[in-house]
Amino acid sequence: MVLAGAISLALALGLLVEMGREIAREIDALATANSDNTQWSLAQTDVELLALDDAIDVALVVDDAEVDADTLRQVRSRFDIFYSRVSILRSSPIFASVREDPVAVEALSRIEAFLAETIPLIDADDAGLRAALPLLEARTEAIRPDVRTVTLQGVAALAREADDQRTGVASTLSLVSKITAALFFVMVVLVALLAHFVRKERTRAYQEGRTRARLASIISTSLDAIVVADQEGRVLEFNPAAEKIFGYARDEAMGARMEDLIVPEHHREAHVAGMKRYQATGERHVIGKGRVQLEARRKSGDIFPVELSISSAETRKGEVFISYARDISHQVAAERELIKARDEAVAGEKAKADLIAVMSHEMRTPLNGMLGTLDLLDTGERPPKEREYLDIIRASGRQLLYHVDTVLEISRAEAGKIVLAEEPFSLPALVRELVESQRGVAEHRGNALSYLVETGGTDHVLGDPTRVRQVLLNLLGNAIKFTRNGAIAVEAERLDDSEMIEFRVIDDGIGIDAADLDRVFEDFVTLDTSYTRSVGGTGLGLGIVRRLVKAMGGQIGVESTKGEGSLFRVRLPLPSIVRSATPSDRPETAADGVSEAAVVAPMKVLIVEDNRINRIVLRDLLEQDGHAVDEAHDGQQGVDMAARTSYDIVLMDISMPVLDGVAATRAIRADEARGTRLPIVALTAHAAAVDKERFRAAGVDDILVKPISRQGLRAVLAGFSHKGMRTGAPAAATPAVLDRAQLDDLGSALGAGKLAELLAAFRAEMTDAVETITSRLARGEVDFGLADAVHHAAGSAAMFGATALRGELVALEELIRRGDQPDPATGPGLRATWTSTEAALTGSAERG
Amino acid sequence: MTFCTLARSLTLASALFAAGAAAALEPAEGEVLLTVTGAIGQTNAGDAAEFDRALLEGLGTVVIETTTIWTDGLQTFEGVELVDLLAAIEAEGTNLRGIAHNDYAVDIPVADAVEGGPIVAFLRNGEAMSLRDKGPLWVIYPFDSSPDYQSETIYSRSIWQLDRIEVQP
Repeated sequence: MVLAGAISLALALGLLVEMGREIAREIDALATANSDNTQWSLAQTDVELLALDDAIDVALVVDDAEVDADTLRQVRSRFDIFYSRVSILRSSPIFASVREDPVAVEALSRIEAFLAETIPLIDADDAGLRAALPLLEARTEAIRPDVRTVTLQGVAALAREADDQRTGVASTLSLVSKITAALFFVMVVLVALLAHFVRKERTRAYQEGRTRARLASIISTSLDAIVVADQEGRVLEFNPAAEKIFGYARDEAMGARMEDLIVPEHHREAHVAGMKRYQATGERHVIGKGRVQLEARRKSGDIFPVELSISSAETRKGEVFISYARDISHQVAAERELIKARDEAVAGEKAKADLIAVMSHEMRTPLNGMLGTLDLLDTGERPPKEREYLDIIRASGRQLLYHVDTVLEISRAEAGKIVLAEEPFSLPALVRELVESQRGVAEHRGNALSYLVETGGTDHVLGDPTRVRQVLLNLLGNAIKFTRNGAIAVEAERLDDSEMIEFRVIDDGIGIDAADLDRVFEDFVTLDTSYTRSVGGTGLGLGIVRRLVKAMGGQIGVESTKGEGSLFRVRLPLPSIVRSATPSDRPETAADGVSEAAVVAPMKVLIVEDNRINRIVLRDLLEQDGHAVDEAHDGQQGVDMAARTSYDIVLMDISMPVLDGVAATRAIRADEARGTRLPIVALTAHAAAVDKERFRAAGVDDILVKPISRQGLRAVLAGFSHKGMRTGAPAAATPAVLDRAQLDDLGSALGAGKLAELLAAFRAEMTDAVETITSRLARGEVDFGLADAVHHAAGSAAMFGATALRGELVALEELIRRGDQPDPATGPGLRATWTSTEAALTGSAERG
Repeated sequence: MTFCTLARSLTLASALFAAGAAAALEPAEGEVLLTVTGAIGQTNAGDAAEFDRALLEGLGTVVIETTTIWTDGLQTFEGVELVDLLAAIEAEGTNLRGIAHNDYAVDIPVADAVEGGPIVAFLRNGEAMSLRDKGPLWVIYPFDSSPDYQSETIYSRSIWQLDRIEVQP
């Protein structure tokens, strides 16, 4: 806009100047007349010729000698004047137009000829002139028409010239009017531009005023002190915040030097040097470097910390420095307080931790003494009341010891004193054992427990099984604690072929409030609900878990929804030690290796179980598969019913009032006719190897670990479905030839190589043993020596999980020791069982 | 515009003469070229002041180089400045009436008579001017020196064949 205006203005001015020059030229031409009164001059030629003629006429009539001289002089004078006039016509530029007229030129040349031939007459002496007067008169008369012609032609030529001149003047005037119009236009444009600039300037001034006002209000209301100083360090501006912070009134500060006002004395030298250096070299240390922390001085002399930011700006008066300062003495003091508090807290925490560690250790020793002494007391001889008291004392003592141990564990973890073992173990076995060990507790609260291990064939891992078990036990314990009549699952999964195993403990219990999720891993946290309170605990469990997981290089997390359950997730680096030869994706389940069991043909089933809920569950599961179900509420009832009715299978709970499962089994077996064997499956939550041994020795054919799942149940029933149940050989009636879990445990404990070595030895030994026993039975050499051999073989079989074989051997040993004669079929039965066991062992070895 | 030069040449002798002339005007001894009458303080022939060539030269002369509208090319005129002439005769009028041999007459305001202004020329291109050559005296303004001297009024005042001057109050 301004640029366009300036350009048009420049163009207009250029045009104007050019036009002005043109006008000046024209005006010059008008102002400097280049002609005399030409017409008059021209006509004067005629007049002067007449005057000459007149003078000649006068001279002709005079004869007085004295007068004569005078008249002759007149003639001469008049001739000269005429001559002079003609010479003007001939040479003057103003008659140039006349000289261009051919007629006039012709006449003029005749006039000049007249003059030329007349001069000698005029210049002659008086007598000569007098003599020539008549001739002179004749010539003068003769030339008059020519003079007339020149005059008339000249008038015409000059009139034309005048016309041309007028036309020129008219065009000049027209040009002047155009220039005037142009000038007017330019003036209008200039006025418009001027008005525009004036308006702009006014707007700018207004805005500048507003900006200035805004700036002033910003400066005056700023919470930070703003001090503006010139290059000498003299204060140019000192805002209200600066007054407040530094204690000087604005009037005091204005014009004073910064170093005298607010720079502490011990910094003054450095400040002055810094200013000098900046002025000399332009090198900046503080200016424009953002926030720096410095010390400043108040009017009272107090030195206090400020956060300072200095920038510089160019003004008309030279460079100025704008400092923004914030009093941070409170902040600095608060920081100092905070650091002190933290140091004290850390020291206190350390002292507390030390105290706890020492106390726990010191408490442990007397507690152990107490509990040991309690065990020495022979409770059997005490009256029942006292026995009860002692039990309470023992239980309380153990609880106390557990708590102390927990605290000690924490202390050790805090001190980084957790020593981790690194040994091979079987992940599925660990999980299964853990789950089974807790099944009783879970069932007590009505919880169904299941587990799933998916390692992609990398069951055997390297790590600290004790710690892993501790972690999982803690999580599982919590899940059981906070779940009633629900389902709890323990899952283990290898993450994408990595070293990481993810364990998940999932329950559908009370869940954790979102607000508490972050706190659950903290020490001494027991969530404040009545339910939790009823459950109790030190609140250290998850704290220990967190530390253990961290120590093992893992991670732990939790997801939970209040009222819907929780999912604890632990990831631990547990590298695989053996890659399975035949990798199997088959997940290990509570059904002990059977992933999908088919429904078997309808069977007649007796349930011996004191727990009503368990009975209902079992009955439902069986009836849904089409089986006929009878129930017995305790062991004795079960024995009675088995004697009265013929069943395809008995499901026997172990712990029951009146007669427990083991005793009931023994009773049934004792009543059995020779050659018949009613399949009895023990139902138990306690699946420790030693217990299993006890059950089998009593005559249990298989063990079903609670909680009972549909799949597990079907798998077990399938094992007995197509057997000649009452006629089948004992070996055939035994479904689980090989307890793989037992074998796995052994493998974990010994390592795969060692296990293979031992297995080879076991197979050789057992083949010999079975052969020896069979042949001695055939020869009828039944004595205590045979019983010892059988016992030894049973021990070996138990060691390697050859359950069926062991069962038969144990039964045989009992028989011999009772003094009974063994069945003749026992020998071949043993051999058959061993053969199938060997086959299973071979399969197992292949499986890895 | 063609250039114009104005040169003043005042000899020691003429200066002395002029000093003397202030006291009294010498009578003309040669042919009288100019007769001045009217309101004048100095006379040498009755009520008139008559000038011959010598008297005019005695007043001090100047040279004007200029073109004119009546002549062809640059001309050199030498003569007495009108202002000097009027001073010499102690003229006290406001108007000069110039009268020529050819009976032409024109009024010249005394105000025109300034230093560097018009002269009463008696030499053109170094030669005396005859009557045929618009002599013997010709009032010449320095036309080329200023556009002010290029008007018709000035041309009309440039009287040639000057014979007499009447100083009018």
